[in-house]
Amino acid sequence: MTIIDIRRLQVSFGEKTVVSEASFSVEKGETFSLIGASGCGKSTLLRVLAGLQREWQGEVALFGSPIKAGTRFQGTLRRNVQMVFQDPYASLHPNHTLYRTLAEPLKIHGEQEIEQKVTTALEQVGLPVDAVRRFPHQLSGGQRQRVAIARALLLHPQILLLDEPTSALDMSVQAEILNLLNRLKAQHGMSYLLVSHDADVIAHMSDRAAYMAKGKIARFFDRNALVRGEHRMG
Amino acid sequence: MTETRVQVSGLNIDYPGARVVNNLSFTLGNERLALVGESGSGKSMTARALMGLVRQPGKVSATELNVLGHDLPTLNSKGWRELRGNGIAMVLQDPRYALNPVKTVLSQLDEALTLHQRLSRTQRLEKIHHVLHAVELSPDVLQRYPGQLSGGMGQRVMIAIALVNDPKVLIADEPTSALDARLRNQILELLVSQCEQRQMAMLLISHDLPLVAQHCHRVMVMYQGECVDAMPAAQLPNAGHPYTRTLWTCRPGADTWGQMLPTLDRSQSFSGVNHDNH
Repeated sequence: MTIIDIRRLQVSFGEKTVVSEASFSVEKGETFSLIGASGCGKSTLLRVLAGLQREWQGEVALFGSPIKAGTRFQGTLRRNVQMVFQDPYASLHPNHTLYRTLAEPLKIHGEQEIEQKVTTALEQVGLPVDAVRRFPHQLSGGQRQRVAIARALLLHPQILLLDEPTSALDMSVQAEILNLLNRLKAQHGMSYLLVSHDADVIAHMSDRAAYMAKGKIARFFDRNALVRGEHRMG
Repeated sequence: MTETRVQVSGLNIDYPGARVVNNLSFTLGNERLALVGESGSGKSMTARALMGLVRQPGKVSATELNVLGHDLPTLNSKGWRELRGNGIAMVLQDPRYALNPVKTVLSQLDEALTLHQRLSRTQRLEKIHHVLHAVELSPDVLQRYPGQLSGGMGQRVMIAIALVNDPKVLIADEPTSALDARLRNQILELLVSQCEQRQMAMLLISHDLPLVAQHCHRVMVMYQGECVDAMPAAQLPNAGHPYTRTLWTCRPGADTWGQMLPTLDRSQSFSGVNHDNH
């Protein structure tokens, strides 16, 4: 089943076109990666799929139904597409405790037993339960990224968009986060769309990958091509 | 290793409530030494102690702390000014924060020269063009501001500022971690070739073991403020220490697809210092 289908997507900011003619699809249960140099439009593409960048042209379908440009994601769609941002220092509200950060999406979606669910989410990502009373600055970078992942997973999304989830972290903490992502993917049957500039992370995580340059998808790689290291291009 | 340029023994750095570096000893000759470990293991603080940049309320104490014959604990601010730049220089992690955003590249390079040497305007310009050539930048970046540089160019500017006074010891504190994978090797190769041309010693701080193994002679592994392992860089693939092994093998890649990566058991204490390979 195809759960993300993008055809001829184009995003412009004023004069500047940052994504042009991007087309690809992601199957259910797959990890699909986008690789490319800084400024090639990969993060913008992710923001379109997350519903954060609402001005675009082309065709985008999520879970088989088309979405319209200019509209907010609501209800089940909002719940099913979640995103983990690059910088764990910037993506959590500095003045909110972890409990408030984690409980907010549940409250918005009218969930019951919020406290119980927050506790479970923290346990899932390997954080102590008493961390709910802490503020982001009282956590290390790796712990913060775990919180960001816990927040994204609370609503049991089907698609997780990962924008450089480990590039701000140490090599050893990166290994922990990648393991966590792979374990949770197996447990929840999610699909990942991963953006990274690290060829090693891509080779470790992806079923398929695409190379983006100047707003266009230049090449696709299947698993064999990734093993041969064809995605390590200049 | 011909002469000892940096001699550290029994270095402690204390903050109220925590000791961030504990009883660290090492020497650095004309060679490249890597200091590796996770964030918070004390490697950057060690570098800062060598530059005299540990801020209050941090306290540095050591039985010996000597750089190029200068005894650091007794150095006054005039002494520091003579040592920094000419003797020892530092390249920081992120050019976006370490360069002055409201000064051009030219004036920042020029400032480094006027502070540490007495040279005429023409001599300074000559030196600046020379060092720019060494870091493979074209002269038109001189008129630009740091905000107009890409990450890799910014990093090259910082290296140029550090090299312009021809230091004997260069400290590079995670010089590549703000860059993408492609630029990492370029910058390190640049640092290594400059070290060899100028007969400069380098202390490279990093958390990427495979990267330092390619570019350094010796490696010291730090964990929670202590040196837990030390060896020649070529020995890293055969490291016996469990902490070093995990740091070495936790790098993902095509062969690890579908497998869990090795991670650290943080409940374990790694202090059983292995000094055999010094």
